[in-house]
Amino acid sequence: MPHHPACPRYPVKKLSGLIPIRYIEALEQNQLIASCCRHPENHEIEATYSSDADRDRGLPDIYIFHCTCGRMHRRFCVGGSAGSGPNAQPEFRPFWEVR
Amino acid sequence: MATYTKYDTFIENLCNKLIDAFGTTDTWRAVIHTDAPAPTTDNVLGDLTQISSVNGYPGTNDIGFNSSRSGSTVTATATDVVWTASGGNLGNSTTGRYFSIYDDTSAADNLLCSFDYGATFTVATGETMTLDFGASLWTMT
Repeated sequence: MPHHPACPRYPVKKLSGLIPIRYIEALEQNQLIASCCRHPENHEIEATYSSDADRDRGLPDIYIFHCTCGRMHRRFCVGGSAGSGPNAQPEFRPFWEVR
Repeated sequence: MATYTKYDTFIENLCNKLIDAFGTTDTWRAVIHTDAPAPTTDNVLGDLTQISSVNGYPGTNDIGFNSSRSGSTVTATATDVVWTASGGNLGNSTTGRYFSIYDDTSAADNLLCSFDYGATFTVATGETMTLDFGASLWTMT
């Protein structure tokens, strides 16, 4: 089952204020990755849906940061899912369009 | 909001006091595996086929599980897990797809739930995979 595209690949620095800071800090503070990868402001980001159900809900659950070196850093968002109960509030998920 | 799949035996094991899902008494861990979960029959970690414990994948990862009650609702939280591949593909794998949570304190390593990434993935050297639990892992009423 292929992923469904949600948001096109786009420079992170043009989405400042939209991308949750914890997404950014997780890369900035990871000492196990290359120095270029610790500067997500230079990355591009894309968003996808992992399933038809997620696409129908309209909330991307996979974000992929693309570093200039070609490496990818994936974030799979599983919190606050439908299985967490009918009253569970979905997490904020950044969404953007490019026109 | 990745699809949450509860292992059916989770409730049974909870009622049988094989696992403790309140507070921080038990240690809960996340794993990456290649086989699709069988929620009606899978019960323990050994029922899953994990990626290899190499190249930045230690086999299991503590998720910092905690839960608390407010009124009649128990909410569980967890800390994001970040895997960084080193020396080769994470787990020497190109076929990881599923993530499952299990109780490492229980004698049999009983399963809680799984999440389907939707496709196989490869985490190459220097790349990362983050399992993001957001504000809550689950709520129970």
